[in-house]
Amino acid sequence: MTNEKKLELLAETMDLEAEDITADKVLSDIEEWDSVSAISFIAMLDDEFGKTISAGDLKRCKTVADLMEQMEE
Amino acid sequence: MKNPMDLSNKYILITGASSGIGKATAIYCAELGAKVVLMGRNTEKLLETKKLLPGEDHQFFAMDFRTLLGNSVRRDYLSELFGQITAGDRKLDGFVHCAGIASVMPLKSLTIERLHEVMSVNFYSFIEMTRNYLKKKNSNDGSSIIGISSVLAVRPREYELAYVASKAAMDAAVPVIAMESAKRRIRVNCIAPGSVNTEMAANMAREYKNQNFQEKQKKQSIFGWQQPEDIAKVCAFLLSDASRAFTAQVLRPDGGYR
Repeated sequence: MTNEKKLELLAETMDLEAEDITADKVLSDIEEWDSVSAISFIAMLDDEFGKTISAGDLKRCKTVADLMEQMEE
Repeated sequence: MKNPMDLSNKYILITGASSGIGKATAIYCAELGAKVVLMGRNTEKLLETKKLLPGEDHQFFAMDFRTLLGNSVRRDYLSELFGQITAGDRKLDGFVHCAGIASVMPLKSLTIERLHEVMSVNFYSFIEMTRNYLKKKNSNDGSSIIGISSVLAVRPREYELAYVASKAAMDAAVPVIAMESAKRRIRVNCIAPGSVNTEMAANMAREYKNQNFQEKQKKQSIFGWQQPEDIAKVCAFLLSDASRAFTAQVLRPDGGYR
């Protein structure tokens, strides 16, 4: 999957406009990245990549790029 | 003169718009100045409704929730459809879910397929449409979502399990959606009519094969049968700024159901 498509999915997960999200953004700086978005992210990984992520792995994600790294089949 | 129910320049999506309450709501909203997007099963009937709308720029899309949410759900279909509706950065100001089918079926014959069909049109579609509506790119803050429920959700009749359950599910879901969309001040409410003079009610009377159905239903309510226009007016109220303080409610324009 292209990085562009991944960013699109992440924007959807956080209900952001696609142009408001870039790989270098720090998650704690994104107002929309909260516990509810995290649940949506976990659901999206499952739907799109058939993958489950552990709470520990998710906690270690600090940037948008870290989330994108998890988005592999 | 001030019109508190003015819908000028509001962009409203209405399902079930080919007949009954949906059709009446589309007409009434357009009369109040709204631009309307009609959705329904039957293209010809949608076209008929569209012809009755004053003003320009109304659109319609044929859509059958039975096939959409049946056994093979096309996940991306609705998001593509919303993409068309909101093309050119035009966001919606309201969504009224009038799509619904009645079903008279004793429990012993209520197969999971029949139950699923009614739940798909009456309830799953409401949730799936609402989910898409609530994406920021599709709707404005402060807008309004309405589900057409039924008095039967709280005053059930025998042999209508699927219908009753689908409407009760809607009543139960609305406060949850209201809480989740509060941050954007999007209001979410149900309207639960009693007996309304629609094609659906006429078909129902036929299914019951009961001459007294009309008469019995009339006696059930102080004002007797309601007209689709009576419900359309309550929809317009909930879509307008006049109802700013209403969310997570079930409004009951049932003529005093007893």
